[in-house]
Amino acid sequence: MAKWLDAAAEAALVQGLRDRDPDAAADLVRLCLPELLGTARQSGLHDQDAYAVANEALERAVRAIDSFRPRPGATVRSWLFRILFNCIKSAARKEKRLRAHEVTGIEFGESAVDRDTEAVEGDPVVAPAVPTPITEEHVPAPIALAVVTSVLLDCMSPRERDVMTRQGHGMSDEQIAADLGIRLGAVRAARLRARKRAAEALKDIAPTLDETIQRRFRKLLN
Amino acid sequence: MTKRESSKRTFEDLAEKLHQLNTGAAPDDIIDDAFVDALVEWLGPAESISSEAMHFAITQLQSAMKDGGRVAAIRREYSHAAEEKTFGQVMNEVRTKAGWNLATVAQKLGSETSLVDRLERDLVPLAQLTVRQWADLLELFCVRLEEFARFATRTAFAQALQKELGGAYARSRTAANSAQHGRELGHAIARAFPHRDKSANAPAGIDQTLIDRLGAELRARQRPDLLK
Repeated sequence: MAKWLDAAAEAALVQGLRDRDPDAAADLVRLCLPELLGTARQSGLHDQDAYAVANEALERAVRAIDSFRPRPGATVRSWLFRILFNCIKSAARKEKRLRAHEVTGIEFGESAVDRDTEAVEGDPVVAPAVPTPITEEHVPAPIALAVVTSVLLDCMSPRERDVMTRQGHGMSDEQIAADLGIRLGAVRAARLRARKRAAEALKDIAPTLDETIQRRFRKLLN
Repeated sequence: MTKRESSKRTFEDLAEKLHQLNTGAAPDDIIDDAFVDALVEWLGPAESISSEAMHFAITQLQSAMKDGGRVAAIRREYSHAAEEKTFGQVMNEVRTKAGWNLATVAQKLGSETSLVDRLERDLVPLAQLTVRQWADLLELFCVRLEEFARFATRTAFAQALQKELGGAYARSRTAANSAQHGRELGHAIARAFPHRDKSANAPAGIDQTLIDRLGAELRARQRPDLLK
């Protein structure tokens, strides 16, 4: 987890921004841009759009800095994230049909394309080639999906993660085997183990998940 | 509570909040430090950004900061002179004093130069722009909501005047000063200044719904300073 500034350093940053100090602006960008950009990417925006949205959030924050009032449990960082989520919503409104993309590219759910003719029945499969459009109302859904995916990847061994992320990026078993320098059978075995682990982890957290997220992982839950 | 239980609890809280955001809850009510910490933790370490991208973002933000300060100063300096102005005239005044051309403003608003030009000449009906476009304009030109209501009322009046008198004036230029043209002009003036004519309806102000929605949009943008 990234460490945020202590109260005194944050107050100095806010004062610098209020005084229109260019160095304070530079500090704000260095501190916050990576996290804002990462979250914007997870929300289903393309790299360029995510970069634009993260920058827009920073600009809006600087414009509104005189209105910022610190309160318990809400630092400049969370204030920036609130602005970011509003910017993401605006971007989604502008682009009615944004292409959803997952950072890992992994999907364990239905409607996927089984491109490997030798795939074992019931194996997890890769994301569909046609991107899913997202709407304004579902902006945080891709973020929730990315969070769940990270939980599932966390429970896997490094080898299983390597296999699953590569499969998620559309590589065939042969390509994965060649890329990792392992045998074809090892790729398939790793995938089966990953599926079992993911199913167990998912059962643990399933009751807390949104219905739309549960549907995406239906095969694993059954 | 074990580490695993604690981790599960954090995840459950995060999932619940993401669900609330997904079902339309306002980010202001949901997002706090705990939410951001959990989200950043679950999403993993932030990806590295190239030095070029970082440099560009810094330059852009510093430029926006400088522009914001300059526009605020211009608006403060000329606020007394803006009493009788339309929104387009205020835009034009700020733009020229800030040294921007039409294309610069268009780029800042993410719109077209022709739209900015028409806005400055008060040719764009108020209802033609979305609430978000108006909010962008208010933010860029540091116009408070209460000022906007005044400027927009004058803009609407100027547009009504253009509509009523423009046609009559154009027709009167095509022929001699006939009685017919005189009557047309008289009727147009009566329609344009209904408060002088008790038989006419009261002058149309701007739609209160627009003001309300603009207020909500500015609140969502964390700009309570523009609501005053």
